[in-house]
Parts: sequence; C-alpha cells; structure tokens
Amino acid sequence: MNSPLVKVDGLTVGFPKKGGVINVVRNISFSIGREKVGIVGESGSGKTMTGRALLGLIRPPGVVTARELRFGDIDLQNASEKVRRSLRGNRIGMIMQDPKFSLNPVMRIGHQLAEIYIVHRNASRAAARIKALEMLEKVKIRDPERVFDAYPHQISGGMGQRVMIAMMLAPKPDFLIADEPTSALDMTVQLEVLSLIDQLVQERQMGLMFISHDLNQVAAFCDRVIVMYAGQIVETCKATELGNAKHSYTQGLLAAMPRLTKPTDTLPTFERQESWKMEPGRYDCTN
Amino acid sequence: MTAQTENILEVDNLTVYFGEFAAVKNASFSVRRGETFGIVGESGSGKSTILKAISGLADIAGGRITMGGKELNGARPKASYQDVQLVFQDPYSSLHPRHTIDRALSEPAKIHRLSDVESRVSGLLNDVGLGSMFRYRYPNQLSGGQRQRIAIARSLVLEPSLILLDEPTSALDVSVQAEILNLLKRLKKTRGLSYILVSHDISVISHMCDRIAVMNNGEIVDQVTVEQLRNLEFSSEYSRQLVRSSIEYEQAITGSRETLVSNEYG
Repeated sequence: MNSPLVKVDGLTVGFPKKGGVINVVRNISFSIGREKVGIVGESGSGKTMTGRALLGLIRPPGVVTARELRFGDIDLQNASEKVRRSLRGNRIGMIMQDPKFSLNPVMRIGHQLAEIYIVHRNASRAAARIKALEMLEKVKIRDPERVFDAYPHQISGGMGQRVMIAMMLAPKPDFLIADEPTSALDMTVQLEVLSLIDQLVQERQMGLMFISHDLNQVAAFCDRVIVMYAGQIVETCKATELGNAKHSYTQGLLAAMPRLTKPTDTLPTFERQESWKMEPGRYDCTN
Repeated sequence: MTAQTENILEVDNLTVYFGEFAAVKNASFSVRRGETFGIVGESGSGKSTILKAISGLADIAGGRITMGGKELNGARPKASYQDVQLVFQDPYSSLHPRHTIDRALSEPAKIHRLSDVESRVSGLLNDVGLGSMFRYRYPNQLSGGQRQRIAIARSLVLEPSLILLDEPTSALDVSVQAEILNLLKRLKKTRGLSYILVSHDISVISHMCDRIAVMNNGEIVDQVTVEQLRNLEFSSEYSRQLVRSSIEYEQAITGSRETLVSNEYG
C-alpha cells in the first residue's frame, strides 16, 4: 500500500465536565489510504467526533490531543488555522447527515454551489454558474436548471443530499468524510446516493471515511471497517469479513439485527461488558 | 362490548386529505385479533397518516374505519380512545420534559377516571422492565431506549386492545432496538394485544409482523403474508424492488457480497 492519506495516532477528544474531563474518543490510531473505510458504532461511540477532529471542527472547550494527526504531508496539529482552512473543502470534504441542516435555507441551491468555484477557484460568476450546472448533472440531477434556481426546501431529501455531494466534490478533494450521509433517506434513495458516492470516489481515486451506524450498509459498501465502542476501536476488519467478527461487541451487534432471510422468535440481546471499555483493539483482521 | 368478530379493526376505502393533497387514497385492510399488521413504505407514502386517521388525529375524508363493530369517525366518545393507543417514533419528543415519569403514566388513567392508579403505574414499570426506581425521574435522566419503554408503558395504561406503533425503533441503536422489539413481542403475548406496526425498515417488519401492506404514493400496492414477503411474492414491481434491496444489504454481511451498488444503478 502506498503512503496513507490520513494517519491518526493516539487521538483523544475530551470535553470538560463537572469534576473532570470526559473523553469521548480515547487514544485511537488508524490510517486511511485511497480506499473506502467504514467507521461503525452506536450513538455516543465517538465516530462523529473522530471525523470532526480530523477537520479541526471540535470547538472549545473540547480538547483534541494526539501523538500524530497527519493529512498527506501536513501535520494537522501544528498547522495554522490558515492552512487548516485551506484544507477544508479544498482537500478534505465532508458530507453531513441531513441536507436540510447543512444547506443555507435562504439561498438558492445554484448560488451555494457556484460560491464554491468563486471561493476556491477564483472563477467568474458566469463560469461558476456553468461549472455548478455541470456538477448538478454529474450527481444525476435530471433537471439541473430548475434545481439551480430552487431553494433547499423545494427539493427532496435525496436530491438535497446529491446537492451536498456535488458541493463537496466540486473543489476536487482527495479525501471525503461522509458522516451518516444516507441515514435521513429512504432505502431506495440510499442506494442511489451510495452508488453515486462510490462511483465518484472510484473515478477520482479518493480516500473515503464513511461514518455509519448501519452494519449492513458498511459491509456492502466499504473496503475496510473500523468498529468503535465507548470512544475506542474494538475491531478492524475487511468489510467482507464483518460477518465473521471476532469481538463479542461486534458479534452482539450483528446478532441483534433482525433479518429477512433468517427469521427468529426473539432477538439476542447483550449486556455491555466493562472490559470492552478497558481493552481496545485486540482484533485487527485486515492482514 | 365487542362483537366476537375475527377482525379487531377494519379499514375500508380510507381517504385522507391534507388540503388539496391526498395523503391516503382508498386504502382498505383489516387487522385480525392478536396479529401484528405491518405497513411499509417510503417517507411520504401515507403510512403514518393511516395511523393518525385510526387514532383520530387526522380527519377522514372518505371511507370508514370500524373497530369492534363500531365506526370510528370525527366525533368519538372518550371511551373509544381507550381501546386504541399510539406509540410515536421519537422517544425524545413524545414525553413532556418537565413531567415526571409518574405523571406521564398516571395522566391517562386520571383522565379516564380509572381506579388504583398507583398500582397500575408501578405494575407497568415492572412490565416494561424498568422497575419502580424510575418512577420519579424526568425524561432527560433516561436513555432513548428507556424513554421508549416509558412510551410503551404509557400506551398500556388504559389497557387497550390495539396499539399503533409508528416507527417505534427507528431512533434507536440496533442493540436497543432488539430489546424493544423483544419487549413488544412479549407484551403482545402476555396481554393479548394486537399491533399495527409502521416502519420503513423491512427487516424489522418481517421480524414482527404476520401480514404486511406495502404503500406507495398514498396507495396500498400490495398486501402479503410475511412468508410471501420473504419470497418476494408481490404483484407490484415496486414492492419487489423495495424488499429486494433490503435482502441484498443483508447478504453483503452474511457472506455472498455482490456489488449491489454498482450493478443496479451503475
């Protein structure tokens, strides 16, 4: 494997609370190359915070510490805010969960998209418009002219997420962080959005960090999977091997899902074991 | 007071309008006593609206809903609300943030002037697996799963025969979802309940339901048994697509991974 795009070593994210600091991400290490890596875990496991820490989006009083936090050859910890800002959007894109909250509600879609070319590429307004329309077409929006002039509330959730993808991919980043990009969408629309992300990631040879709570989706879509629990990585494996997970937490999650193809009367549930919090990452089956 | 009919609820040609928009068009189905009837569909297909019409939260523009031989229409006697209860999707917004659990659970009993509110409430808390120490807590002191247990307990206070479940586990993690689904199954058995379960998650529907209606654009496009659902025996192409995509997702994890993403939409 060539040198990783993102290298994280000993990342910890903490928030001060009454009587001490609560670490929501605890000493995790991983690296991601030009591949699709899924990060799965339940709510509160720290997966979103991991993504945000990479982009430098943890606001004070949150504290981010790491032995190493690297994007390409840039040391993110010691980078100035100016350098970090030049990375965001430009080289690292992020797609958030709900397009309704990520798009500016009082600005036409087209203007929000065109702004990217004006800001990142110093394009003229006319050129930006043409580029924006091209991008809408690229994310398979059938009627780009209409969507260009629409406000976010006038388009559907699936279309909104396509617009978000168009926005993120417009500056041609090397790395994309997708945080639950399809959770707000219907099943059939989910598949369309996923296939679109997949196609664009392949085409441009990007790295993808795909944050999700849905094990089925991650298994179907990613190359590798990182499983998080209580702020730590408990298991890393190939996506195709997720069904044979070794850690009892991952196994518990897999067993707890109802299945169309395997009907049962009661679903197995599990007790959370204290040891899961103490001993992270014993299982790495990627090799 | 119930005529011994096999069906606990009958919906006949139900139509619901929101302004000009027909949210439900001529929907007909019946729910048998003791069964779980599922409704699946994408957002905006009208599945929650059907539940609203049954529970009296949406006006019925056409058709009829009968329960135990009596028609449910606009003006309903208080007692008719006792027989059918609703559990909502989001446990974070369906409990009053400034009311204790005790108050949330005793309120329906007080409104309907039931006796022994005390013992009902503590009995129900035990029944949903929480115990009486939760009684004087506020919703913000509970997790999402615990809140959903409270919402389920609240729906049981009036001892209804039919419970309408509107995406009861969509806001929960899979491990918590499993606990809630098990709880619902157990309560149904011990209390002889009937359910209508609305969900967009076909695996959840197939796990819980005996018969299923598939909705699209306000219409019921298919009505099948759970076996037919698993075997993709549908009359509409829409339903087949919908269920097949769920099965493909599952197969990705259970081994035979196929490039589902690229082959159908590539």
